Amino acid sequence: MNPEERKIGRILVGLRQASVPPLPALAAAVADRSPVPVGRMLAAAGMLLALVGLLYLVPGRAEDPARAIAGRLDSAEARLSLVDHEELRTLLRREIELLRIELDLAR
Amino acid sequence: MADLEALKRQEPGARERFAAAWWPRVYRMALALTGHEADAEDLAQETLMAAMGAAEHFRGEASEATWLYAILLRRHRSRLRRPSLPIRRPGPPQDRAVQDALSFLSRLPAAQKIAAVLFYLEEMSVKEIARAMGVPRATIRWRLFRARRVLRRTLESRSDPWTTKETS
Repeated sequence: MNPEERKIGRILVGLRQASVPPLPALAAAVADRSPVPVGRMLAAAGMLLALVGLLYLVPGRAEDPARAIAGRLDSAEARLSLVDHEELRTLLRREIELLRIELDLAR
Repeated sequence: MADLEALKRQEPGARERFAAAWWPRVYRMALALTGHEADAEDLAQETLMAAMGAAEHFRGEASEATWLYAILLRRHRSRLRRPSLPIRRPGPPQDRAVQDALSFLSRLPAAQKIAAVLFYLEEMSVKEIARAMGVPRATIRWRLFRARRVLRRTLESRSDPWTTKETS
């Protein structure tokens, strides 16, 4: 780490001195997933597929294929950071994997 | 990892041991994200409860810390989307070092704040942070770069008690 990073680290490490309240009584465990109606999930998956399909069908301006794929990859990653639901996250991760493979092939 | 395995096997007392083991770290991480003690307490409590409910889904591909912080981050983002919560009374004043750290972090947008705290406070690797946040490593490096730039400007613009400490 360079001196600047060490300085930043020293400041943030101050948080370790935060007084921690006593552990509250925890109720029955709640699973880290919110139930989503199947219909909404299917609709979301359908929209995702429609979007991917549209990107192939709509004529775009001529541009470097690798750059276009990199743009779609950035967009997919940005969407992933906004999504909570595990099933949708799984679909998006899969999309991202495929885009990465496509990007490698395009280069 | 032993606490999580005990939790998965539903051993007696496993929930209490797991919660007691992780509460301080999860609370401090929540405090870094929310900047407010009462919100941090709520967020940390929600995170631990969610983690205990999802323990059976933990497959050990990431470290326990990475997995927990991923849950905490999702809970935090979910809370940000809720309608505003009622204003709470502030808790007892924190140590100066804590206030300085929180003040520093308040200058960063959420994504950079999270990356900076996981990197500098929790000393997680870029790979682990990327897994926890669900983004590529290059994105994390970029966020850390941006965070350092903001924090460098903050240091330069102050008459700088930190610089004074550095040189004394």
